[in-house]
Amino acid sequence: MKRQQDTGFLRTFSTLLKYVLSNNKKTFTIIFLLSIVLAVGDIISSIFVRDLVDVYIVKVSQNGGSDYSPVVSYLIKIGAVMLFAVVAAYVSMQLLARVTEKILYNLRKESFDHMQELPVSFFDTHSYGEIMGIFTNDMDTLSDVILTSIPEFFRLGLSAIIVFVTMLTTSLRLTLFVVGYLVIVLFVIRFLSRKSAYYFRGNQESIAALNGYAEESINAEKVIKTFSYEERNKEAFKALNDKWAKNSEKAYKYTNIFMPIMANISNMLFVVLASIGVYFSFTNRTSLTVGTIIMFLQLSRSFTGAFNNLSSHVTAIVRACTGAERIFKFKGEKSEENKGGVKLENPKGNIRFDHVTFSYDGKREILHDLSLWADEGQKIAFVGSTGAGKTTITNLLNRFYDIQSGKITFDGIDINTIEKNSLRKAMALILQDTYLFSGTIRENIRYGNLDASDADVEKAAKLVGADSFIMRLKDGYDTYIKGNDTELSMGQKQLLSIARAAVMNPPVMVLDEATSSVDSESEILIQKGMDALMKGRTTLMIAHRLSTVRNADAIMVMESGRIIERGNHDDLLKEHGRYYELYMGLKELD
Amino acid sequence: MKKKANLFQYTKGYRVPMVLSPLCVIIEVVLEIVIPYVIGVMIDSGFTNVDYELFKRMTVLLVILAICSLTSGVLSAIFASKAASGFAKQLRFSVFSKIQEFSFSSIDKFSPSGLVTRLTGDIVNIQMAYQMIIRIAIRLPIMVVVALIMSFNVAPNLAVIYCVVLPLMILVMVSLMCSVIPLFVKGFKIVDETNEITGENLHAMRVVKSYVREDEEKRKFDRVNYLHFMIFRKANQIISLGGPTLRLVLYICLILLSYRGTMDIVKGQMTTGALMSMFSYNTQILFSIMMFAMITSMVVMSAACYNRVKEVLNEEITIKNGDNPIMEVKDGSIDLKNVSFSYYNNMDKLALKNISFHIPQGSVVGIIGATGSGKSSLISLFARLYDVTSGEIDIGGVNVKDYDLTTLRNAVAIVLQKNTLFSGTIRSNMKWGNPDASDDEIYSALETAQIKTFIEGQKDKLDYIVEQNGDNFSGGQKQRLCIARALLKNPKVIVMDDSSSALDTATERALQQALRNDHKECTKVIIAGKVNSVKESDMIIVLRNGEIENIGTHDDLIEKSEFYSTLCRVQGVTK
Repeated sequence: MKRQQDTGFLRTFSTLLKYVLSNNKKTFTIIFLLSIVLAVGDIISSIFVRDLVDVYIVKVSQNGGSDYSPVVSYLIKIGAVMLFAVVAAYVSMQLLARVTEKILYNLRKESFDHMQELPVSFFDTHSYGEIMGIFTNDMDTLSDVILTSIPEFFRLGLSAIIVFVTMLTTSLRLTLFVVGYLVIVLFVIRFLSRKSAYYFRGNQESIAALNGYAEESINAEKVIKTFSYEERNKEAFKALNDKWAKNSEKAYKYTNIFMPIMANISNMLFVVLASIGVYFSFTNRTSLTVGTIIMFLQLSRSFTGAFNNLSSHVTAIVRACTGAERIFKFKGEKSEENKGGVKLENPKGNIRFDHVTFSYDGKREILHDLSLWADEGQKIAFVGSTGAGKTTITNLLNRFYDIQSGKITFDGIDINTIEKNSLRKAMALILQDTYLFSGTIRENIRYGNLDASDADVEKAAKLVGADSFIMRLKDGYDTYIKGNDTELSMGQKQLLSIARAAVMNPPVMVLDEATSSVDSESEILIQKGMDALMKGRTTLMIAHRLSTVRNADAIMVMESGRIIERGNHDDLLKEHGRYYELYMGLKELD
Repeated sequence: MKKKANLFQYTKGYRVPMVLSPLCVIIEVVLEIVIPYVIGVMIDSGFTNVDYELFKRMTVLLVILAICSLTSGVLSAIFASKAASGFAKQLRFSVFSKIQEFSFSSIDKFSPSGLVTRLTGDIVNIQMAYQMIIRIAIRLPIMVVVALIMSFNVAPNLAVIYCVVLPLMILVMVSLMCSVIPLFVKGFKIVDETNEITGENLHAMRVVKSYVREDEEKRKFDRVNYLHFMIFRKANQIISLGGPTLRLVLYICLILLSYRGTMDIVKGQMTTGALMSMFSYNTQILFSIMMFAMITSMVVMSAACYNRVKEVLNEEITIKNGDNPIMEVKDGSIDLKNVSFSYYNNMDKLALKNISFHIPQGSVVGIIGATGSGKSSLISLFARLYDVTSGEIDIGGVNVKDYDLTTLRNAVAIVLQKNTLFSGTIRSNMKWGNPDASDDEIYSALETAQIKTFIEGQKDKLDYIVEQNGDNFSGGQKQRLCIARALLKNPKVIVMDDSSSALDTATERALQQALRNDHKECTKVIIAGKVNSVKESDMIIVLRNGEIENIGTHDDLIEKSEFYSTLCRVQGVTK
């Protein structure tokens, strides 16, 4: 199990590295070379002390302080190397900032573009929160890792190795203590990261619990107030909140002590190395000079510093890899297929379903051997309970899903052979839930047809009866609305989406419960707009209220994937079947 | 400064760890600086003034110091997590409590998702910042000060360079911070915008696809994404100046220290060990300044989170109990006297204009009108969900403003148009109406609401599970359950805002009949879209554009009211 996790992480990490390096190999090579210069500069800033103390100070002391030139020229030489390192640092950091931001830009762009290509089934099987999490949390943590942790991982790793080798060549015996330190530190890291991961899971769970509760209760805040339920609500929240605080304290305790423990173990090493070094000088078992000891101490500071940072970056990378895995999996999801090549020229709107059978998951059949037709300009209504398969019909017509057997034709052409975009442009879809976009009213209506002029937009709004309320808004057509967070009423939003369809001017209209969230008085207003819109177009309408389907050319009463009654209003009433029961209010629709 | 004063109250109960954590940090810092000094002394004991006894003493001292430093470091971390979690807990609870006090107008102002974000993400960020302040932000300046004192102590000759270097270094860091923070603030706004576009697209996927607007959406996203890229690239390039600058200063100081140090050592004014201590202080001082700049920037940026939280905490509560509130509602008569109401408290934007009527106790009243005619606004004033802008509303002969809010809202049960059930069981949902309700009482309410048979038919009866939002019930079932829940309050007035729209005609009629029989004393106000739902009321109020168009019985209105008669004709209702 553990092994599997490890290889999973390594696979993601290598995918991530490949992604980061692709197209940027040259820049990263330069950055890598500069990092070497930098690491060497670091080393020199540590080791120059040895020669300074052991050679140059001795030399100047010998000449009695009369001539400082050997020290000065040595320091100038060292200073030049250091300056070189500073320049290397500057150039590599600037390059890195540029290239990593570019990588992130591309990653966001590719992910969003890919999202646009995914089939509707993907969105139906993945929750909003799930996908949004990829674009927010996962992307954020991955950004931090790409921006800092991965470059630092390599830079610090490189510098730790170089420092370690220098230590080895300086004093093998002292280096043994450094190895001992490494063993202890690795053990501590393992222990602490396990503890902290364990408590973070608990913390995460209590966050999720509180989040769920807060979401439900805040969304129903008005109901809570009408029941004066505030105090009891607070009690329930308090219990969850206290639990979170307890878990968060534990989780952060183990994260917080990490840094002081690591820093103080390094301190210990420093103390041990100094003591041992000096002790050797007493026992005379060594040729260690004072300069060497100071240099070694400086090296050990660099080493432990690099190592401590390294471990925190590794933790960050491991943490981000779970998100990275989701992002790469998302990017690897199969795009919507578009095999059809036929472009609809001048579509008319003759629709035919021929023995269509369909299932979403390949197991439970939703539509059984369904046949129906709608000729140019006809109005067909579907009535039935939730789950009867009404919405499925519209999902199939514009190829959000593909059928398993049977045939659907548009103007006599099998829709599987029609280019998807061309097919979809031939029909407007108006859904129960209206979806508007952040932007002006005008932009939202123009969504239906980007070539529409301002006059076209206003004409469409007038046609469907939206013009009067738009004109009463603060800035008329230029009023800015914020997605679905607007002050517009349901009815007004629906009118806008109907206007959006009107400006598109397609031969086919599909209305899926378009008026069910609008009250019946407003429906009367909208109805006029709808009638104007439906005139001369093939219309498929799924209706909740029977009053809206009365003047359809044909009404299909559906039950569990089959059409059980069909005919116009008068015929169906005469039949005294299901439609009659519904219409007379003897039964309610689920 | 103001920020601290406001937040300080939430540290109550956690002030001991709040003080102990920085205290331990101070000890740790002092030790961290004393250690290099002692090491310097020890090195000298081995090389410059050879003294084995001194060496032994110093070694023991060092081990003790290191252990103390470790202990205080760990303790400060533990105290900090305790203080920060406790602080966040209290802040979060007071935000949630504040939301519970919100008037409806405040609820309208904040989006639910925005409030949830404040409770979780924002407060977590504040908790992090707080933890950082009491541990790291305090540590760094102390580190700089103590290290400076020590270096002046060890080698005043060498330490003078800091008089020049430090102000320069601070200047550079401050200017970097000042140029980077506004960029980040701007950047975070763009990040929000990016997320907004993504969220909208996810919600509206079917619209995008059916209008074939994929490419347009890609372009829209790219515009914002590119801005995102430009801003953060610039910010990162500025931040990236910090590291090399630090390195440059560090190296310059090293060279200067070495040069002056050599001179002093040769002259015998300084030991090699002291020079080595100076090198340590040099790193500590300069690193701390840079870290401090970074952490300050992070704390400053988290101020945005704090401001969002503050918005909630500072939201003015407009609907409160008056002095000596009345604790009992006598009866269910309703009187409106010249009531006008605006959501914006603006007499030019009225949702209701000059409404006056009298509803006697126990009667059945229908309210009908188009969307935006003010039906829902009107009834929400009954339970003081909003306050009238002018005029007066009396329930049981007393102005609603004089009642205790809980008393009023328990007496006036409102079944909202957008009503919800809560995850739990049927029983737990019904107990909202009355926490002490017995099973018999619950069944009797369910019976009136015409849903008893359904519940009894379920295996678990009252323990039947209700999923979040009541998603496992049909629209009609949900409406009836919500009505039953309201009836359990045994209210003086029950208002049903379009609450039986999903019921079939027969069930709706049975429900109304049961209400008349079982709750004779209770005034029943019904808002409906269907004429059939209000036809048999004692009195029907027709609203148009926030004004009363007509009041009367069905038979009166079909003659008098143009709107009502049109509605009847469209819905196929006759006399």
